[in-house]
Amino acid sequence: MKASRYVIGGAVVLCGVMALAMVNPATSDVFPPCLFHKYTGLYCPGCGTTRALHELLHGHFAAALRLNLLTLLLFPTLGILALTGRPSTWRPGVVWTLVVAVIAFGVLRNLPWYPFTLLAP
Amino acid sequence: MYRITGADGKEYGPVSADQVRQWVAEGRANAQTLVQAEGRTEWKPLAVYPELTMPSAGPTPPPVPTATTGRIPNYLVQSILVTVCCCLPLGIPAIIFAAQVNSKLAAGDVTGALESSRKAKLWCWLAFGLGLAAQLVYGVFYLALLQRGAVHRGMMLP
Repeated sequence: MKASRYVIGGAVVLCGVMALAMVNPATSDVFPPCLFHKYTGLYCPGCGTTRALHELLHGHFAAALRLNLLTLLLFPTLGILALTGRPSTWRPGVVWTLVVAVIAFGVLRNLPWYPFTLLAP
Repeated sequence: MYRITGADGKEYGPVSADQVRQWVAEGRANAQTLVQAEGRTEWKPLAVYPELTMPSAGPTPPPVPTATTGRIPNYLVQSILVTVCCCLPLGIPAIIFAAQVNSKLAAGDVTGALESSRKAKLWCWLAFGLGLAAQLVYGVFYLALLQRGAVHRGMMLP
């Protein structure tokens, strides 16, 4: 039961990674757009993640970080924290730092002044 | 009568004190298991109920390595994922309730942590469901407009 779940999950992830590597989300409409950005004009904390992962898969680290600094740092951080235990056992200070980071990044990247403009995708 | 929260995070009961004692004897519940007495709102570890800790048969099983309170899911990872992947406005409350679970557990407020956990779960599913529905509706409309030639490919880029 469990093994088949891992196989299916792995296959789905592999397909996603292959699609991300082959198709550039910046020039193709295959991937869904961020509806929050589309209808408000504002960038959400996740905007640019798909394009960033595409750049990452092509080894363009700087371009990836410019598209979405938050998620590229956050996903590995969550992975490392997961090694220390279940999310509900993480120290409250650590958890609230993550919460503030997500919200603050969402606000700062919409500010029209340098250097905050660097955070926009 | 009592309700208990199992190691799987699900609620069981209401059941009698005898039944709870039997679960303890069978190793299905232990001193850390969260128990709610009938008519009360707060959840406390089984150890604080003297009527449940008197073993009717056999010794109490040793405590499980992970404290039961650490098994209350906080849905933090799920709420962050729904926020950055699809649905910002509904994901933010989910993230905040998720973080509250940790604060309340650290303060020893198990009842409050369970409540925040439920709210975090609710907002996660709301964000996920509405986000997915919005994307599907958008996708169908976009494909329909493409077919009619009302929009051209590439017009809807991020």
